[in-house]
Amino acid sequence: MNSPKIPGSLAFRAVLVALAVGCAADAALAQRPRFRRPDGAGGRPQPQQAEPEAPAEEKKVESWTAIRGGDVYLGDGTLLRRATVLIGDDKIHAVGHEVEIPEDATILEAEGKVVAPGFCIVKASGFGAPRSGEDVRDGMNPFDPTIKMGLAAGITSFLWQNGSGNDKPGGNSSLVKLAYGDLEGMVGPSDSVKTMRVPLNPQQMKTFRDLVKQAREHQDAVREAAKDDKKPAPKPPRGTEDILKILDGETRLWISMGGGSRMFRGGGDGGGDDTTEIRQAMEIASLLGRGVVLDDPVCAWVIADEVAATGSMAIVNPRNRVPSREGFEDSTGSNIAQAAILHDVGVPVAVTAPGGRFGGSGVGTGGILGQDLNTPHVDAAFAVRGGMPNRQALRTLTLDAARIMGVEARVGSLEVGKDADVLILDGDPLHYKTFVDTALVNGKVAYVRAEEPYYRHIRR
Amino acid sequence: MRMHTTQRLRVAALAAVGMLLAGTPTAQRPTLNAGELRSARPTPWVLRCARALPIDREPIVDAGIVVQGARIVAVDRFADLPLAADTPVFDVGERIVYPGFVDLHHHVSDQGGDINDMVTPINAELRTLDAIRPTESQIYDTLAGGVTTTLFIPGSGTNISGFGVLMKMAHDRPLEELVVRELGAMKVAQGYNPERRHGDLGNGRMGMHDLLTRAMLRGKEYADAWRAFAAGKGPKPELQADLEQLRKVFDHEVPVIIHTAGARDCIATARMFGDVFQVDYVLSHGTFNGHWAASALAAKGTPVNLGPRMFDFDQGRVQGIAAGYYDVGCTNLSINTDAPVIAPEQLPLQAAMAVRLGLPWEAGLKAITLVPAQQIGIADRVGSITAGKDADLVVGSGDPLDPRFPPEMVFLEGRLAHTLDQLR
Amino acid sequence: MMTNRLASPPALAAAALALGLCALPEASAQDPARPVALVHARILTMTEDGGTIEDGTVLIRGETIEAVGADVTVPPGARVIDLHGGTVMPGMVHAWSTAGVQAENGGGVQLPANIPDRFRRRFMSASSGNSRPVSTPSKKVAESLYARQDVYGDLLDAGVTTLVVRPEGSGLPGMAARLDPAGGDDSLVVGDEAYIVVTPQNTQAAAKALKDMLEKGKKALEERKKPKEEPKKPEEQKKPEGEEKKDGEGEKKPGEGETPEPKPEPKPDPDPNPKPEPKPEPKPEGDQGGDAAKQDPKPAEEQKKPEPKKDPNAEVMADLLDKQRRAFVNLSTGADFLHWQATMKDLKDVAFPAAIVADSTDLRSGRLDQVLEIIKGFDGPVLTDPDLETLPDTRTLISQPKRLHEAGVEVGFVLPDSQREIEQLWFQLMELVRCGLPAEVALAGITRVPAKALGLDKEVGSLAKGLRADLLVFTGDPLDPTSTLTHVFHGGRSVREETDPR
Repeated sequence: MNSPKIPGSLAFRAVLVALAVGCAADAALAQRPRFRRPDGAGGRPQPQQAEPEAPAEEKKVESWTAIRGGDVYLGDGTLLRRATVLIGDDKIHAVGHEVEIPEDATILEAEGKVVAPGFCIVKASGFGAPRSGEDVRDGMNPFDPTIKMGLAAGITSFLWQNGSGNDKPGGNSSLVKLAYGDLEGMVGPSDSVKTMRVPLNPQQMKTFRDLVKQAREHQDAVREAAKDDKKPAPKPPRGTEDILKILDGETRLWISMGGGSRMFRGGGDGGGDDTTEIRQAMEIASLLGRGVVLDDPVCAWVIADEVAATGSMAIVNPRNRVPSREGFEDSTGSNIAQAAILHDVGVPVAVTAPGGRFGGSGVGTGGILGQDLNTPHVDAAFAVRGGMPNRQALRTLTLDAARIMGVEARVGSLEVGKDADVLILDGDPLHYKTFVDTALVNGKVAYVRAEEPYYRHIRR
Repeated sequence: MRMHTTQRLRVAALAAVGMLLAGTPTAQRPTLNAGELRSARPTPWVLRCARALPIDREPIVDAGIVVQGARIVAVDRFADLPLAADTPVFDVGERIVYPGFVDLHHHVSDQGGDINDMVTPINAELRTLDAIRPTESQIYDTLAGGVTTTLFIPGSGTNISGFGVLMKMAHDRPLEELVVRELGAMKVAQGYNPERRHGDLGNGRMGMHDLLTRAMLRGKEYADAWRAFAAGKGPKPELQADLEQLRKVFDHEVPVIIHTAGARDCIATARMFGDVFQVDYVLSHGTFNGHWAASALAAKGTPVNLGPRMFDFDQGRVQGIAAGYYDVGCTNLSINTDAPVIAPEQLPLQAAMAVRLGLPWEAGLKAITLVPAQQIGIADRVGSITAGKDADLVVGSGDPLDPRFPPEMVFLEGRLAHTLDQLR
Repeated sequence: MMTNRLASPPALAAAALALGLCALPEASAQDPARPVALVHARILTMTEDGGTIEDGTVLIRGETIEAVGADVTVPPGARVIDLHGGTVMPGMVHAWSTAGVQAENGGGVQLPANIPDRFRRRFMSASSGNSRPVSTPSKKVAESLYARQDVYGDLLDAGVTTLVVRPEGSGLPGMAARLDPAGGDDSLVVGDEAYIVVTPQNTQAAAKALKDMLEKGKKALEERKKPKEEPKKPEEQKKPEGEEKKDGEGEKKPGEGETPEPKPEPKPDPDPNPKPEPKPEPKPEGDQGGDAAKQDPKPAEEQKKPEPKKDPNAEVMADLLDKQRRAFVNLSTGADFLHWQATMKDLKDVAFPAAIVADSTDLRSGRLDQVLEIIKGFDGPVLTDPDLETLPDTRTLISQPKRLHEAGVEVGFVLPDSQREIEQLWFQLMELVRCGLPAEVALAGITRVPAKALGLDKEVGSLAKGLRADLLVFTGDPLDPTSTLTHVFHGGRSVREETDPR
């Protein structure tokens, strides 16, 4: 019962298949949101994806850990059966079937288990991180018990945000890793994300254009100055610092639609339609020549190909609901298939827990289960419910989530050189019964189910 | 999530689904397409599937479910069904069929919010029947989640907040089609929410106990008087409008569903409604440390309708509450969403979370099908795939509790009321 | 049924006596010239290697202990007190007190003494602006104290013979003061620079304030160590002064009135240099008036080209980094220690003499035994609450003092600030001993270890020849719930005497 026969089989897929075998359902498809595949990579900006940085010099590994024999999900959609993950100190050293395990390695047997990258959560709070403040490290509580609870849920890192931009990029952010008891190990790259919101009024849009223009001129000036080493590098014009980082690809720009007043938009005149805002975000992406991240769009599924065309990405909660406008059901309102539709056209998607009083961005202890970060895999499961292929859906918590946070060079997949944030699970990562048996952060075992009170009493 | 209203689209999509699903024709038997099932068929037809989960018996491989009108006529292995040669078949191939789910704690059939009248603490004369909006989109959402029967009850703002209505999720249909039982259950609330914090009687446990006892005693006397009259042993009682509904509780026509949480209040509820007043009752919520009272409740045979909380955070343990009840023999256990606390279509997820924390899978599935049907007294109509029951059937591709597998078709009383392509 | 150890009527009399408000009950006993011999005593010496003398004599002359041992000859004319096997131990050393300190920002709120410590702390942090860090390490708590407060006499009567009070607040609230609990208006403050309080609360603001101040201290120290282009006599005189001022309350501002040092203070530092400079009287300068201090009249020969203004706070920090002062660092949770480590790493090459005070518990921010390696990195002892704790989300009791002790950390205790709570303290210690902490460690934790933390262990905290005659007499073992405190000697003076109630 637990291993279904037809994974991800949905009626609207059935429609597609029927079409492919020659049935006449053109009318049906014409009415559906267009979700053409992108026409190859040529000419179209691809969503950003940095490779892990090679270490400056080969460091001698001091301690080895090998996770042996598990079915390994790399995080990019690939599954290696009965493979080994070799960790050198805090980094992934090798993954594969033929990995040679050093003699002095600590072996973690994973036979019959599933190995996956630690989950990367785009929206979370708590886990020892301060509520606000300039310096995430100085406000951190590395012994916060919710860190262990997060690890029990498979979470090994999340994006801490402080403040947000308004009509131009702003806010601080930092990757926080759930390295229990290790203050330095908890702090990852900072400011990999800046945020802003749309809609911008014409004046704000003009200001933004001007800033981008100035930033580009500055880039040219820097290039020019680099030719002559006597000339000092010019200083960036005021207000362009964050835009420069975005242009350089160092920072991702998250754009929220209308400041999160979803209820208003759903119930009011907006009629659950944020395509205008999304298009403005796409305009910003074109202006920057960089994909942006749509933060919780409602109707990105309606114009998925336009989103794909800019190389943008999206943060989605598949369970959030916004009613459509009467008479415009095919172009307004939320769609449970949004994540799948975006994924199908090549837009990387990260999932979040539902909002609202009983949902949330933390690990609640009030008893509601399946609605917050105690079960992030349930949100990915809802992406599958909406039609995303099962194996690809894990990306919404791993590699694609890391790309959206701009930290894919560090976390998000079991690639050589990335941080060794690894889960050993007792089953399919997206199955509701699956528990984390062991979680490693920065190569160190940070959670063992049998040793913590949370779930050790549950036996199957 | 809304229905597409474009008729053209619906028909076209259904045609496609039907063609695909039909697969290899079953011998020479005539086949049906989905479009032909949009209304109940007066003549028998058979739903064939790779696996049926009847709930009241073992799963059936290559099953057939014979439906006529709104009812199930027979269910068995397809090969073993005594079918007339011309009985048409609707074959869903490799899919699984299970009964529509039942949610006994549901508040959203009125567009939400219109469920508490809180001037006085005892409101036995109220009923949610008056609040239903058949066009409410959440009724459709509920159906799309495979939940076909719900008990739409008033809130827990007062000790007796009125009578809930037992409904089918027949969205956008005439009210009669939605209502299964006008007085589905009397809603009582003990503890937390109904506490009258402005100084009235009923601020605490003692006061609420007193208010409820007095109301129940009045109702009992009233019911006794009418029974005596009916038996020719007493004068005709004077009609008391505010007790007319309550009287039915003592005539065992309508059960009581009691909002209760915490071990102390759970025991108090079982004592008051089971031991003292001996009415039909369901203890709803039963959360926080309610499971501490589970063996006592099991001994009393108390029906428990658990949710929306699924665990009790106790000394660092994420203690599954459902498992806490089940493990000590309190198996008369159903699960709810308390929608809108949990979105109504996520009832199976609630069961999945109970299973995650240790409830056996079979018990989890029963807790949203047969058990709640029995608890509320409509197991003759719903809760399992059984000959004679309503043809409330869900077609899916996998484990009914796994959120990855949505209901792909939902039959409500023999008609195809939802297909996945209608869902957003 | 526990014996009420302290609140007996004679105790009150003794308290009054301690304050010098009534006549001495037994004038001859207090004749400073007359030695006192405590005979047939079981002596817990609490010295590092001393141990227990089962039937011995403690001979007191004047303020000091003249002899301790089994074979001490009692001089003729001595007052002899036969203890009949009663126990003598050193007086308690309370190194981290706020007794009698007026809450700076709390609107002068003084909480009643009977409020339990944990509530007090919560109250204080809510009301006294603890959450906003301050950077006033040169501020002296002594300035805000006054003598006529019952609490000092009460504490002395309860057996606290050495009392150091500290300023409250987070960040760097100032310097602690050593008090004479029996002292009057002129003699309450024995030393006003006992240690610098460092309270790096686990907040971003406090961490920043601390880092900034230590940076300033570093700069000031670098400035000092710069060779002077134009060596000037006064300057040179001044420097050694600073360097040699080693004692617990070493005065750092030179060249003021020549008040003779009231009593010799042993050095807190391993530095063996004798202290040549007499200690000036604490100057009632404005608290934040560092500049004022610097502008105070100086000896004429020091008048020279106007020196750049020095920030007295930075100077105090420079002294600390130069190991001329000591700090008490308030680190209570595992997280506190990690942050401290990170802060020190950020600052690079910062080290100074420090004792650790873990005076509150938040097990959701980590336990001390989760950061043992860091704790072991400190030289000084750890003063902690004498409590058992329940691990979060469990029913598991743990004894942090025991875990620290077993890891080789020297453990002392933070004492409470009221007589009633001191009475409870003995029972807390008994609990700790029942849970596995050696009795010797428990008693050293209220005597020798805090004395060592203060750098006063050559003066108080144990019973040996030459040390101050601060001692307590019990009818039995101090950790036996049925024994009673009968005598308190403070600097050789008997401040509590009652007959054995049995």
